Amino acid sequence: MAEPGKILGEFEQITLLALLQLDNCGYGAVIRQLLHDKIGRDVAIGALYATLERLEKKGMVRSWLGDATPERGGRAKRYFEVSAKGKLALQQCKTALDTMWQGIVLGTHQEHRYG
Amino acid sequence: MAELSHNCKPPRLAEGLLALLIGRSDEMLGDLSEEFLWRAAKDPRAAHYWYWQQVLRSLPYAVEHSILLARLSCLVVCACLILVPVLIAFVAWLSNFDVFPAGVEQGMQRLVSGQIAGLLTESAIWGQFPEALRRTEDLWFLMHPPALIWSLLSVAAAYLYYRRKASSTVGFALMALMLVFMPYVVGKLYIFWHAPPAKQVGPLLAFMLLHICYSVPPLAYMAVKRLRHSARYRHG
Repeated sequence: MAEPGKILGEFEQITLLALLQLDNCGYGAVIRQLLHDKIGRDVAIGALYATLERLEKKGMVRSWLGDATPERGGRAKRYFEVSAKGKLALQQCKTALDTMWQGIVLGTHQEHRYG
Repeated sequence: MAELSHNCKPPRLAEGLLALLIGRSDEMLGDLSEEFLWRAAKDPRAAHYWYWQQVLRSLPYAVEHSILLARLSCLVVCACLILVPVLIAFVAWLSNFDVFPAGVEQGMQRLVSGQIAGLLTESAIWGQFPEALRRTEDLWFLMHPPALIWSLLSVAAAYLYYRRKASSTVGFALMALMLVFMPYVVGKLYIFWHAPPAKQVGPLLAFMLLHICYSVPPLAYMAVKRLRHSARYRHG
C-alpha cells in the first residue's frame, strides 16, 4: 500500500471532500463556490479542473457530461463523483493525519526566540 | 444562491480568449458563465472583474489543453518530420560529393565550421540531392553507432517522462525538442569554440545530423499521441 501522503495532496483532499459534501455529484461552478464559502479559498476554475483531471487519471474520481442549460450558454455540465479508490485514499490520509496530531497541542501565542 | 441575471453577459474578449484555446463548447466556460450570472445579479462590474481574473488565472490550464496549440504543435512535429528526409539526402550528398557546386561560396569553409543550416539554404546543393541519392549503393552511410546509442537513450528518457502520470504535455513537448536538438546545438558550439580540424568535423556532423534523423520519428509519434490525448480528454 502506498503512503497516503504520496497519494493525495492537500488540495486534492479538499476537492474530494468538497465532492462528498455535494452528495458526490458536483460540477466545476458549485465546487468552486463551496470552497469559497466554506474555507474562503478562491480557486481558479482552471486549477480546479487540473486537479479533478489529475484525480480522474489516478482513478479517484469519475466524471460524466450532463445536459446543457441556457444560463451556461448552452454548454453541458461535467459532473464528478468520488470513486471507492478515492474514498479509501481519503480515509488513509485522515488516519495518518489523526495519528500525527495525537498529543500535539499548539500554543495560542507565538513563542519568540529573542523575546 | 443569488437570482440569475440573464441580461448580463460575460466579457466577450475574455470569453473569446478562453474559447479560442479550449473550444467554445467546453464545460469550463459553462461553469464560468453560470457563476458570472450569479455574481452579475449582485454587482455586474465586480462580476466582469472576477471573470477576467478567472480567465487569466486559468490560462496555464487552457494552454495545456488547447486544441489550437495542439494543432500548431502537430504542425511543428510534421515540420520536424519533413526535416528527416532532407537531412538524409544531405548526409547522402556529403558521403558522395567531390566538389561544391558552382554558386556555393566558401562551401568547404562553411562545412568545416558547422554552418549546416546555411548550406541547406543553397539551392545548388539541393539540386544535387537526387543524383547523390541515386549514386548511393547501400544505406550504411545512415548507420552511426554513437548517434544511434545517444538517440536510444534520448527516446528512453522521453518515454519514461511520457509514462509518468504527473507529466504535462507542454513539458513533454519541450523535453522532446531539447532531446532532438541538443546534440546539434552542443556540436555547433563545440565547432565554434574549438575549431577542430576538418577530419574531426565530419564524424561530428554525422552525429549531429543523424541523431535528429533517428530521434525525430519516435519522439514525434509520442508527442502527437500525447497532444491528441490531452485535447481529447477535454473535448470528447
